[in-house]
Amino acid sequence: MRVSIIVLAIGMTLTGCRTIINLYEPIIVSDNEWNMLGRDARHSGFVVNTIEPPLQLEWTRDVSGGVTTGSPVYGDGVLMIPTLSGFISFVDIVSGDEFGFINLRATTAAAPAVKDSLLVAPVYAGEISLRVYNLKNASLYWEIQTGTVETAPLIVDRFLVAASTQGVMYCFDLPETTEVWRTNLPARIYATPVSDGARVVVACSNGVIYGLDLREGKILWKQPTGAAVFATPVMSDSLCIVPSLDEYVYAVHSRTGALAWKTFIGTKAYSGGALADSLFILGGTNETVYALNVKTGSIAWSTRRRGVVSTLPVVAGSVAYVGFQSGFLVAFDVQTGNILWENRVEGRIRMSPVAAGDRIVVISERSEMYCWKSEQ
Amino acid sequence: MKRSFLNITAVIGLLVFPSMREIQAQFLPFGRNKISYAQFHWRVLKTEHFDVYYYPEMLDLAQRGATFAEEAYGDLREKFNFSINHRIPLILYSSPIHFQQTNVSPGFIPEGVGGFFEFLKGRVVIPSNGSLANFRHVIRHELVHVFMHNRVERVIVDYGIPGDRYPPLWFVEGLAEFFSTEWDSQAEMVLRDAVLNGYFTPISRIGAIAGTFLMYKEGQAALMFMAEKYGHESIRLLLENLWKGKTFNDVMKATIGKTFREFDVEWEYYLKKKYYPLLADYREPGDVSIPVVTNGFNSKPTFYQRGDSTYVVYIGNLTGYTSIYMKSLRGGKPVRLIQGEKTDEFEAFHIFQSRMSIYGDSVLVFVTKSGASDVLHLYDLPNRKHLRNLRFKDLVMLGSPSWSPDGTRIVFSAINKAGWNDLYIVNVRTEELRKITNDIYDDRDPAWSPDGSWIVFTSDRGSAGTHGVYNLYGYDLSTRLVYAVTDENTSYYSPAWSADGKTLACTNDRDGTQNIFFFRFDNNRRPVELRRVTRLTTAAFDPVFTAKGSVLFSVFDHFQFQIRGINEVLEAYDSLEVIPFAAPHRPLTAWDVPPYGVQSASSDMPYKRRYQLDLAQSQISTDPVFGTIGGAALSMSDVLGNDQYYFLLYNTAQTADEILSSFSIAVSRISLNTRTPYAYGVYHYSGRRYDLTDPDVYFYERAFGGYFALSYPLSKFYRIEASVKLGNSDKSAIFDVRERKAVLLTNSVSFVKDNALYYWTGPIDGNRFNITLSYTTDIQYSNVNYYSVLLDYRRYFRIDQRTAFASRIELLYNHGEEARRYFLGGSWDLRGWPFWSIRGTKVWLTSHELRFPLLDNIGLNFPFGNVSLGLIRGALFFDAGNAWDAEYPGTRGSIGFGFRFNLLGVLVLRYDLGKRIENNFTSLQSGLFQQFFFGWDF
Repeated sequence: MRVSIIVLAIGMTLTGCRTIINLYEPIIVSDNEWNMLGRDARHSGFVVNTIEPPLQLEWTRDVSGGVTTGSPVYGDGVLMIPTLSGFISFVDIVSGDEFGFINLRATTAAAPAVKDSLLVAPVYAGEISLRVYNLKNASLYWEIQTGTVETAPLIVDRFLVAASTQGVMYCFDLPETTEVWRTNLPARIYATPVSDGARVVVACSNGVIYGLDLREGKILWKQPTGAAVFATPVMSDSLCIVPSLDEYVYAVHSRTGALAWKTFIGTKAYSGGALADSLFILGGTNETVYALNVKTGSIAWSTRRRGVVSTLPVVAGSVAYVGFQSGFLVAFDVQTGNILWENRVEGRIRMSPVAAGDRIVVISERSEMYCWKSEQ
Repeated sequence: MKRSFLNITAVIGLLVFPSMREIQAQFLPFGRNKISYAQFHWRVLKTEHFDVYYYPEMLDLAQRGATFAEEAYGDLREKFNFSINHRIPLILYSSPIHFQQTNVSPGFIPEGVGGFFEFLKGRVVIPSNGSLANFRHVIRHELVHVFMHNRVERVIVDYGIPGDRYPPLWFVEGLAEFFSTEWDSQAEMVLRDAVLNGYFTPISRIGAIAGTFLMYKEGQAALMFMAEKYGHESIRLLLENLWKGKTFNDVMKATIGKTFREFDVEWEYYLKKKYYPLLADYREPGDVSIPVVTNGFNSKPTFYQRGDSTYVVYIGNLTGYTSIYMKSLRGGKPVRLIQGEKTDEFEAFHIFQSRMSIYGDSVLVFVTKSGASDVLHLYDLPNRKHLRNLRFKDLVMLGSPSWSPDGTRIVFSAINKAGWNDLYIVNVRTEELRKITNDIYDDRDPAWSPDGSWIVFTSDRGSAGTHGVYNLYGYDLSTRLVYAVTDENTSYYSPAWSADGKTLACTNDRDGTQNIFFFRFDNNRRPVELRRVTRLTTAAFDPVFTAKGSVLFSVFDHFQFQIRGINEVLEAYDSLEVIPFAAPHRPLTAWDVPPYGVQSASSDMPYKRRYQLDLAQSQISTDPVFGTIGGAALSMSDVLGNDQYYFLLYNTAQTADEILSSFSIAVSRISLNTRTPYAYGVYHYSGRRYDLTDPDVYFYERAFGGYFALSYPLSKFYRIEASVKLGNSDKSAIFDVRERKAVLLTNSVSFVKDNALYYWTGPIDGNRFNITLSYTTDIQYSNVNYYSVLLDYRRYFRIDQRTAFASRIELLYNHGEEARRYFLGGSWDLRGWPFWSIRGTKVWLTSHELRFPLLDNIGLNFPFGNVSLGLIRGALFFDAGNAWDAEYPGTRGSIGFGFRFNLLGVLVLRYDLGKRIENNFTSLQSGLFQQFFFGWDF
């Protein structure tokens, strides 16, 4: 297999194929791995096993090409890291070695998503906005035109959901490479959509949260907030939790759109949160991390640490890891908010960390990737 | 950089009269002096995100500034969704006059500059002008630049885009205003005038007004509109999307879906819809008032009557210099009473800031900067004679003096060294000074009531003062208590009494811009009635009454500051519109700003110099004669820019054997934080040389030694310079056997004056001279021994605003053993003669030139856009002179015509054509010469 892929890659290069894929190993990602932004279609950001601090730095690696927002994804022992210079780098989680890459030939500023062996990458490449690659045979699988996409793709079962910046929601059948539906919304979309398996929830720059039927794209309900939404919503059971730039966090019923609660946190949250049992954890631009009760919206705790938070937290069992723009990766006790451990990297953390098995991976804006593992 | 409206002419002046640029003359330097009058004992207050530099006198203000800075940091962190991960140096001054002495920026800081952010080291430098609201605004404005700069830098690095992909100036400054302040009456006035009078400049053409106050406010207005239509986040996204387009036009298209032109269509429509309806209810200034002074930029009218003759005395800028003028109200031309900005005594008028006052029919009191601080001037109007100055030891800036009715005292506002603006009364005879307000509030424009019992002034001490709202207050001279006259959420300014003391004129911005209103009071000095006098589309301000109840005032209209009047308005008082008015009822003093707490000794410490790199540059060049030369230059300075080090290292070796003998090294230190700036350094130069003044000699020289130089500025315009240099110089000619050894001691002393006013291509007013005497001797071998007498005098006779006649006479005389030679010829001196072709140890030169505007603007319209070439000036010139060694060879000269074109404000291109005057001034060249070069006019 390895030889065939190499031959294919060489062949594609020599024949002038415009897409360059250099991948020595086939990759197959299962659904319970960190295969999209926020780990899964619910963007829970949650893994069951606790990664107990203190953490020990296992390896570091230079990720050439610049990173900003978005997040790597992980599966099959491989980290897949999008870079602004237009590459997706494949890095072995144990050794930290890069063993392959995809040259997207266009900037990608959002997290990719992987379903089995199909990797979907949003790109800023003129008319093409999504490229799908087959990681089994290192080939370009599909190119999709949707207009600019600045959010991460969402994969639910066989459906690929993408939100274009211009406000159009798309749903594709990924294996079949066909469009299932598209729905126009009246405002721009900067927040990655979320799904509970039956519905897609998306929030727009006009501050309105929309609930769409996953299979037909029909608008089921809408719920206004007080300002634009940039943060990634999170689905907790039947509640969809949406931080808005009006400094409130909203929880709406995903079936009806009815408002369950809204809580004023007094800061803008641009990134989104993660779930930890009964708590919703998120950080704000006021350098504070909040834990909200998922059922009531009440603030269980808040802890300040210097630096804007513009990343999604990672919750590993009873510990929440949050990356700050001050360069700190901080581990919080999810029940109390106490700081359990922290470490500072060079440069801001603006790309969301991921839990890769029993490791935490962070990439700083200076393109340095850090992999930590529990000392225990 | 933050610029205030109050000094809008300074801003305009920068465009029209780019006089702050200093050039190096061919032989002798000129230039005005930036003087460190005050010796600041700097300290550093460390807050969570800032190192706040301040001096002990302004501790309270600095602590409040630190509070503002941290508050702004928190807000901007949210707006930009971005952290600054390094400590931000914030250098504070307690007044604009102290600020003008900063060495963070090497050049002169014009009066209109309210603060600046220096990109190289990320320093923020801000003065207070007495208003905490303004202090807060400027701190916030400059911190927007800090956040924006760091954010843009990050985008450039992340996406690997060219470093010059920076947002345009209108966006940079517009965003700084949008994120730092509310839309105020000055902004409204400027934008209304631009829209209603047809000079509004859309974004696609905003380069035409780059750097002006109008550009700042149009930028702010454009972003306000964009936020309203496309959402607040679109502004942040414009920065984050910089990588999406090669031009900002592309970035805007990618972010909001509109190009500049498409956006302009929407924005212009919005503005017209907003402002055109004003024409129904509001009046043009010309409809309701008569013109008094219309040319130039004029403000602060003061009524003056002598016998039956009535005048207006005002501060105006017709020529580039701000001066005091007087004009008869019956017409005629204005007469300049006080020439400003040319002499030490009247160094700077704070135009738009300080009113004047006249006692009876005789003594005018006004304020100028004079040396280290402002002074009050008393001026005998009938005799046109300056009487005396009043200078106050601890008061740095003064404002708006007002005579007591009996002429014994003057009340005025003043900013002390601590940075607080309070009211003071001075006894004119004894010069005894009494402070009558003493707090953190900004107290301005006092007006002594005609019955002498109270003083009305404007202040931000009311509950809305945190937002920069000013109200009227009274000071009772018998009880010495301050009480509120008004307490509203709109601002009152410029109170002025009628002669009978029954009516108080003032301005109020309840219409969005300032207009004139009258108050009347009951016997308890409570305001009982408010009536509107003007309802102008733009703005009216600085009202004063005449003896007959007319009112004179300043008007902003068609981008001009005029003085206009309404006749006998007091007679028509009863017909004026009555404005509902609520008497003050809230507590007098309602607000404070918590000073930033100092947690530990380590949070507040004396300033220690730490040097950081300013410049590091290496260069390798190859010359057909001298081979390859490689070297590097470094400079570094401390945070305050007071101490600067320069390092130079280069090597001219052509073979490996020559490396050690061809090293040149120089180290210099310049200290600027003293009244007498000085510099010293050591050097070692060695290598092959070609002496420009001795073209036939190529030689090898090894020279080493040291020097010390100092400059004592007598004032902004005069200075004495002196230097001593001791060095070894060993020369050997390359194509000859000659060798010369010397240990040279050089002493020199110069006297320099410069008050010239620059226009687009060179000076057009004022004069400048440099007299230098120096003596050089070889103290060991006596091989060198010569003296120098150098004189350069230039005078510029103003003919009209843009035309001047310039004259120069230059005498350069070197005499003695190995005296250095000078050179003439070319576009800079003796035009028409080959460049630097005439050489000698002695030179005389005179040049005379008529400088005039030729073409105001050349616009080229291309399919991709319009290109404006700007202003082209013309010159008619005459030169005469020569250079010689022993025997005078006869006089050479030239006459001709030239074109001058200023390229982007940094380079003047010159094209001359004419005839040489040859054969000892007996004949003209048969044909025409042409010369093209660059350089500012002499």
